[in-house]
Amino acid sequence: MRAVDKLRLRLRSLLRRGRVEDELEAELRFHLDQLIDENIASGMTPEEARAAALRTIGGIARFQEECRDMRRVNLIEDLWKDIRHAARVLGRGPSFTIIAVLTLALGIGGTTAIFSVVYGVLLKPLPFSEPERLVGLYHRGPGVNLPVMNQGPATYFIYRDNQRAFEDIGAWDRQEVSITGRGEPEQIQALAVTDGTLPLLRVQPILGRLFSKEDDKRGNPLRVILTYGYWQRKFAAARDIIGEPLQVDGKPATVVGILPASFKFLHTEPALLLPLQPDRAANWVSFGFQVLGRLRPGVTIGDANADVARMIPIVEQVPGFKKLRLEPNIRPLEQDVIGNLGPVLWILFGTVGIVLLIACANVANLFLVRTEGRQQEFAVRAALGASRRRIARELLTESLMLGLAGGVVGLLFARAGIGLLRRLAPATLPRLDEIGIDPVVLLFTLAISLVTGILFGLIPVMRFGTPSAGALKEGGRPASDAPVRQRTRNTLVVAEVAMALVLLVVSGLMIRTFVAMRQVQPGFVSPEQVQTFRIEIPEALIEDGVEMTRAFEQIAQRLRPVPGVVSVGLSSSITMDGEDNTRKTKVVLPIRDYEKLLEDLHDLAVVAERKCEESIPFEDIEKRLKHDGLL
Amino acid sequence: MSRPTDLVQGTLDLLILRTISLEPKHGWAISKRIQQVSRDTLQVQQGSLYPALHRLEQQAWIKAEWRPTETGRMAKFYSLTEAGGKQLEKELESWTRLSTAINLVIQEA
Repeated sequence: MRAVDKLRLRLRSLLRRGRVEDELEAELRFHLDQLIDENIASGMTPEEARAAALRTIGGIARFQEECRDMRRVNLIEDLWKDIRHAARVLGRGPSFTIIAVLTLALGIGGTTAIFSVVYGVLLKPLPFSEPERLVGLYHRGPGVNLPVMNQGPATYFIYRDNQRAFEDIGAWDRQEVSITGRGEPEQIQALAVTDGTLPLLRVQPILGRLFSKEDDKRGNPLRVILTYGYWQRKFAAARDIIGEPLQVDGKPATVVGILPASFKFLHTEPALLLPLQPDRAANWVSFGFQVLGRLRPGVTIGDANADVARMIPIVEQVPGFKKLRLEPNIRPLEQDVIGNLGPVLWILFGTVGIVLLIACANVANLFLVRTEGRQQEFAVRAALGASRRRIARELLTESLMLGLAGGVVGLLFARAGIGLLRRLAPATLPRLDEIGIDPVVLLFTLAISLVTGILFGLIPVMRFGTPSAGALKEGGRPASDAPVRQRTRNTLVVAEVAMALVLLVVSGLMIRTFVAMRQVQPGFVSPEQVQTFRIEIPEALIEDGVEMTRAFEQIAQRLRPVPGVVSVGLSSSITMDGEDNTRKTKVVLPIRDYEKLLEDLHDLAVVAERKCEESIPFEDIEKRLKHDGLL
Repeated sequence: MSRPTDLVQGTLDLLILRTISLEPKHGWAISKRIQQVSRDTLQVQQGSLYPALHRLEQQAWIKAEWRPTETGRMAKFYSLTEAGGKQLEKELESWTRLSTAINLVIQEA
């Protein structure tokens, strides 16, 4: 109660200042009048009485000041005065102010934009509950010289049945499926998961249910779950979609659930979720999907690695696994999103950090020159009684205001930069939709604005904080020739050049890398003349591989006469499109058809020229495949 | 006028709180009352009185109100708040303890 009263009074003193001042004056005047009346009553003339009263009271102004002090408003008023003073001073030199603010804004804006990327991609936790307990289960395979190997049905079932370190593990894989039977046929991104995957991510459906163990058994009727976006887009958010049939890759499927809009899974953008249905009978070496797990509380990645190492001997009983010499390689799930982007982003962040420092040094230099010109002003004010602290405070207020103004303009720059980044949407940048100016980024901007302000404000404060009597004597002559002052500025210039040099070297190296990458032979020419698109014939429609090839060939045949088409070729994957296609063996071609297609591809110059490699006869390939146990 | 006896540090608050504990008074009346009751021994300077009043008000121990005096002029009347009453008790108690102690030392030593 008392605290509230105190706050109310303090606010009143601050906000209703005029009123409070008037009251103070009236109160003291009343006292004075009473004193005068008393003096008159004791026999003085009114003039004498007034003079005597004023003598007794002394300076009224002093009381007023003391009363104000008691109300504790001076501290805030001083700050306000400093700010207004700084604004006036900065307003008097608009060209300096504009240049300083713009320079800082460029530095702060760049740093903010890159920080928002670093934060959104690297630092922000994954959008799952307790993401620190989520891991990706991978292997190392020294036997085949592979640093990262994923999993297959054999490893998945052995680990799931025997593990002790995890709450549960689940497999996942990206797929592409054709949806038919409802409006236009379309090919969509799908995510195949086992029954444990969604529950361990703590995903809750907004309608229907998730996959059960039964759904995940090979051969059972196909159930699918729709993502929120696809449900909205394709089914107009109809709530009665649960239980409705759908044709997925030509097979009948039933919708059993809808995921919430918040569902995001690593770098995938699925429209549909399918049960992965790994084959429990698979008794051979196969690596085709990813496995993730949720660690039991208190279990570390080291413990989990030990747990997997314990199970590897069981895996090695499956024929073919032994020679891979599998080792566990469990890593935080973030790794699956970020990949090897981390170092690149940190380098970028460091680079804009240096740009910010250069901007800082530039503004510090400008500020220093300006402050030198004001030496006399400071000396006069010191002579009039301004304390060293007060002058330093004013200088710092000025630099902080410049820093904050730079921060505000910088935020605008950063917003534009992030907008541009979104529009360019580089394929290698994951979690793009999580990048933006959120409270954390705002806090970061505020912090660097303040630090920047203090950084370049402190230099002049240290140089000129103690006004010298000499400045008064110099009578307004510019004092910039003094060697000591020159030294500070020289230091700044040296620092600036040094940082610029670092930047130059770094960007030079980056440009070299870029040029080197441009010179990599992609294996094809004039990409602008090549149109690509993806088609898939579901196995449910045509089972026989040869028939399938004929169907594809017929599609190609029909495309050839289309006006403007020079040549048509078919391929299971396209070089350098960044898509990882794990199902390259899906179309089994008779060697004759394959040669025919190869010719077409050659016409398109889509296949890399491999002149220096010797060709391998078909018999040799057959022998090798048999040797590896794959045929 | 003679030099006022210096008030023991910190007792001014106690005097003010005690003086207005019976009825609300304005600054002039407070200083007159203290002077009168102490038989002219204690004279509160205006330079101490008003800052003290404002400080006490800021502490929410006293509250102010503009009211007409007997002569019809408007003056700022100060009265105790509930918190002020408690504060007065506290200060009285500590003053009693202090003065008793000082008296003891003076008489016995």
